[in-house]
Amino acid sequence: MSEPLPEPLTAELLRAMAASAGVELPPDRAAAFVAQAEPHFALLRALAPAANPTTEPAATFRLDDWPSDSDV
Amino acid sequence: MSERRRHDLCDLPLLEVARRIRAREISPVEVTERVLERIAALDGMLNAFITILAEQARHGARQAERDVLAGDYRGPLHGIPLSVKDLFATKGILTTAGSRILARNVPDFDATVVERLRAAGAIIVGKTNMLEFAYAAVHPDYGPTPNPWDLTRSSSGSSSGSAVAVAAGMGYGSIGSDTGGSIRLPAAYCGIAGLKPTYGRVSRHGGIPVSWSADHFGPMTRTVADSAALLGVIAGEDPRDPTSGRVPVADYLAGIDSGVAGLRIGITDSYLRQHVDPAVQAPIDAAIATLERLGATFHEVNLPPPAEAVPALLALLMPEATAYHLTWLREQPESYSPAVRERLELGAITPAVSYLQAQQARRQIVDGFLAGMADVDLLLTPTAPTAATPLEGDLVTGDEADPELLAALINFTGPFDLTGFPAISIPCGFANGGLPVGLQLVARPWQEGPLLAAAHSYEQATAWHRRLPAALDM
Repeated sequence: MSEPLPEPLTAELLRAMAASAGVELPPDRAAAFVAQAEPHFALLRALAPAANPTTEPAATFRLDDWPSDSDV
Repeated sequence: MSERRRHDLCDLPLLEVARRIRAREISPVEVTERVLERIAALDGMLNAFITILAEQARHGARQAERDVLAGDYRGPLHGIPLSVKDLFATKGILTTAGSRILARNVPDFDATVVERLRAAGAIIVGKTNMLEFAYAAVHPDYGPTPNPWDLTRSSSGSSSGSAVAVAAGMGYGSIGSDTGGSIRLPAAYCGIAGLKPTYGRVSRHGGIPVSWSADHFGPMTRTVADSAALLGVIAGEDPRDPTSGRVPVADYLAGIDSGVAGLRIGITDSYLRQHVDPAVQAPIDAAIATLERLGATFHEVNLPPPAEAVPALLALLMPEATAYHLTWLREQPESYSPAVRERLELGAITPAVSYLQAQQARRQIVDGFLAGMADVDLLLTPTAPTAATPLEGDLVTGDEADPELLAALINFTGPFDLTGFPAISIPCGFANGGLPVGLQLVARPWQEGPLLAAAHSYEQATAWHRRLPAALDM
């Protein structure tokens, strides 16, 4: 299975990733952010062994007895 | 330990005060006044409350007094002063979530847990201080809540104000929230009981979320039986929470004396000794010996380790938190504390593939825990790897997201937010010259009854829960 997480992490890469979610990381902030992102991505890489294509994700989506927005 | 305060009305267990109210030996008005006096005396030092509701509490106490005298006694919470964490919506009352962003937020409805407390006749004396948006850092506008056992130490979080209020006798219980350990960790640091029920047991409606799929609400009290009483009131199906479980709510107090004789308790090295401070390990080992004397037996089990469960939890909750906060994060990022802003930014850069891998891991890990617990009734772990850490340099007072430190802190608690299994922290001793140590017991889903009974049995065989914070005798 291909590795979905980029290496190495750079300030420019983090800026682009944040921008894709609409979050602006100024250049100086992005440079300092690399030190926080590296251990975060190390944790995410620990998930790779779970990525067995036969495992259904635990997120649920059921339409039996669906509460509408106005009910909740 | 304080000898002087242990017989003070404020320091009695909730159920003992309830008995006296029901017997008309004391009035809810008297109890509430004493609690408000305690808050007035201590909160300047402890910073446990964001909003104190003195006049509303007095009004509620007078009503409760009239009800009880008229024979309309509603149960063990009637006339009992309690608090709720400041992330629960309270109609007409400030609900800040410990944030600058919601500093003027006044909801027009009550969260389900608040609604149920009020219906049971409880007196809400205040909204407790907390880590900003329950996300592992103090906002400077509100400041930290020092630990009442040692004011230079952390009370952890995020339900820090709730834990400190209960430990210091500023109310007989509080409702907290737990997404990585936020009920159990401050309970352990402050020497009280903290219960995270099964995911879906207590409605999330009206609670400001960290993570929709990992948030749990539950009671924090000085005794296990008091937590059973509170859970019995706040638990149960709620159509306003799409994840609310349709599982009957037991009478937790009726089964509280079931004991542990014959119970099989699972232990395994990765949830017992790895990364545990020796000062914490000694009380945990002594607790195992106590439970064996009470008739429980211990068995090695094979469980998915924290090294798998904690990354999965963080990979779920961080993007979920960012999704909730995204508009504010884009428009007013400077309103967050530096550490919370960084955590939200980390959530923004977490790939969708990682989020889905975490959901795959969640399924495998829940299956792994169900299989690992097939032949045992409970698991036993330390609640936290250490006793309360110094406020200076603590994770919750720092300015950095520090994913590694966060993962280490929630090593034993986070896996049960990922799996949703019920877990309780109870006091089991002291370390480092007088800092409380917490023991965690975990049950299979929906088994809060046996969990509370086992915790109660241990508590009754020990005296740790009777100690009061000596730091308050000043």
